Amino acid sequence: MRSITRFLTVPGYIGYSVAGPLFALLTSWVIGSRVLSNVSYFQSLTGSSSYLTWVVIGFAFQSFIFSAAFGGAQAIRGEQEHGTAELVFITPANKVAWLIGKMAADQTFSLIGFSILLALGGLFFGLTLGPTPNIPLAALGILLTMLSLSAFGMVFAGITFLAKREDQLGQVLWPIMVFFCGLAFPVEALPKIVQPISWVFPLTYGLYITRTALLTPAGLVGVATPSITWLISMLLLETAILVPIGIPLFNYLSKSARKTGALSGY
Amino acid sequence: MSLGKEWRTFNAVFRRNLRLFTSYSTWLIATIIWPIPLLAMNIYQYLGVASSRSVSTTLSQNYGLTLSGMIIVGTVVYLLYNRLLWSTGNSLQTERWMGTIDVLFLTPASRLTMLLANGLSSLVEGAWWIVAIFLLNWFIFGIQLTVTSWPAVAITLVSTMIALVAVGVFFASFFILSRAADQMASSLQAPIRFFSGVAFPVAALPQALQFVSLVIPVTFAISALRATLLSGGGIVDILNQLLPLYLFTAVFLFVGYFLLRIVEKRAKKDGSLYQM
Repeated sequence: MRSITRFLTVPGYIGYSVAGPLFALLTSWVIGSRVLSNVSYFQSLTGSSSYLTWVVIGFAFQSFIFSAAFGGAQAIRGEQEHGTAELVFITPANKVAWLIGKMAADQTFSLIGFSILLALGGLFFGLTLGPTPNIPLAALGILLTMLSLSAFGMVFAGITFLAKREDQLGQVLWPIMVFFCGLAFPVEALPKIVQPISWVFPLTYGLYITRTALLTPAGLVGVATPSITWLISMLLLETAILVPIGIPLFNYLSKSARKTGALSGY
Repeated sequence: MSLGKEWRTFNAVFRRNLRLFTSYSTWLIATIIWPIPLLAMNIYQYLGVASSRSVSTTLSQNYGLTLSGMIIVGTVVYLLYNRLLWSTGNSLQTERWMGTIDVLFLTPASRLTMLLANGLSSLVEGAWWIVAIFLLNWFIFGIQLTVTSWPAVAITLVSTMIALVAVGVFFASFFILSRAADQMASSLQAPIRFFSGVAFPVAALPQALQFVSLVIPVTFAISALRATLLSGGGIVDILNQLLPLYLFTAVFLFVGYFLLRIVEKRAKKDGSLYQM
C-alpha cells in the first residue's frame, strides 16, 4: 500500500510507466509505416496482417518487464538508499511477503500501463483484434507471464545484495529481453542459431499466447505457430521451475547479507 | 575564481568517480555488454520487418543512408546521451542518496565544476562504447566509413560530448527538486530516442513532429556525426548542425548554472537538501 501511495503522489510516475513503451511503439510505427512501406516479409514470418497491432501487444508487455523482473531489485535498492534496509530486514515480518507486496504494487501499475497502451493502440495505431478474441486465454497468458517474471524478479532481487549495482544489469537485461522475446519483431526473424535463446524467457511464451488469443483466427494466417497447449505447458513449466528457485534463493541471499552485514551497503 | 582550485576539485571528483566505477563489477560488466543488445535491437527493428535488401534499398534511395551506418551513429550518441545525462544530472541526487550532499554544499568548491567532472568522468565508459560499436559493426556488417576530414569527426565528437554534459548540468537542478531523478531521467530516454533520429532519420517523422526534433541537441549531434562519418562531410558541411549544438551548450550551461544556485540557496534556507 505504501508503494501504491508513493507512486500516485510523486509526479510523473504514472506517465513514466507508459512513456517508455509508448515511444518504443511510436518508433516501430515510424519504421514500419513511414520508412519501410513493404512489410510483406514480416507478414510471411508472423501471419499477422497488421504490423502495428502485433507490435502494440508486444510493447504493452514492456511494463511487465520492468515491474516483474526488476521491481524487486529496485525495491531493495530503494530501501538501501533510504537507509531503511537493515530495519526492514531485521523485523520478524516475512521478507518474501514484503517483497511480493512491493512487486505486486509495481505490477498493479504495469497492468494499468498495459491497458493504457492497448487503449492507445486502439485509438491511434489501428489495433485490430481478431473477430473472436479469446480474452480468458490472453488473460491467462498475461497472468502466467507475470508470475514467472516475478519469480525471475525474486532471483534478481536476491542478487541485489551481492551485486550492489543491479540497476546497471537491469539496463542491459532490458534490451536483451526486447531483442530475444519478440516484443518489437518476430523471434523468427532472428538468426536460427540464436532463436533457442528466445525460448528460455517466459516472456516469449506469454507474448505468443496473448497474440494468438487476441489475433486469431483471422489475424495469424499461413504460418505454423506453436500450439497453445505447448506454449501454456512450457510457461507453466518455467513458472514451476523459477518459483521454487526464486523464493529460497532470495531468502538465502538476504540471510547471507544479514550475516555479512551487507544489507545496507550499496 | 582560482583555476588551480577548480582543477583540484575537478581532479578529485573525476578520480573518485573512476574509482567508484571500477569498484562495482556489475557496472563494469554492464558497460562492456550494453552496446551489444542495444545495437542488435536497433538493427532488428528493421530486419524483423523487411528483408535486408529491401531495407538497404529504401534507406539508400530515400535518405542516402545505410542501415548499419545510421544505426551505429544513432546508437553511439544515444549511449553517450544516456550516460552523460545520468552521470551529470543525477550526480547531485546520488550525493543525496549517499548522505554527502549537505557536506558537499558546505564546501566552497564550485558546483558547476563538480557537475562537469561527474559528466566528463563517464566519458571513459563512453569511449569504450564508441570503440565497441564500431568494432561490432565492422565485424558483422563490414561497415565502410566515408571520412574526408578526421578533424571534422573529432570536432563533432568533442562538441557532442560537451553538449551532452551541458544537458546534464541543466537537468541536475530539476532532478534535485523533483526527488525523482531516476524516473525523470528514464522518462527522458524514450522521447529523446524517438525525436532525435537514433533509430530512423528525422526526415521520416511527420513534419509537425520534426519541429520537436529541432529543440533537442542530440538531433544535431547525430546529424553532424552521420555527415562526417558516412557522407564525407567536412567542417563547412556541418556548420548548420554545429552552430545550434554550440548554442544549446551555451544556453544549457548558463541556465543550468543559475538554476543550481537558486536550488542551492532555497535548499539551504529550508533545509531540504538531504530530504529524499
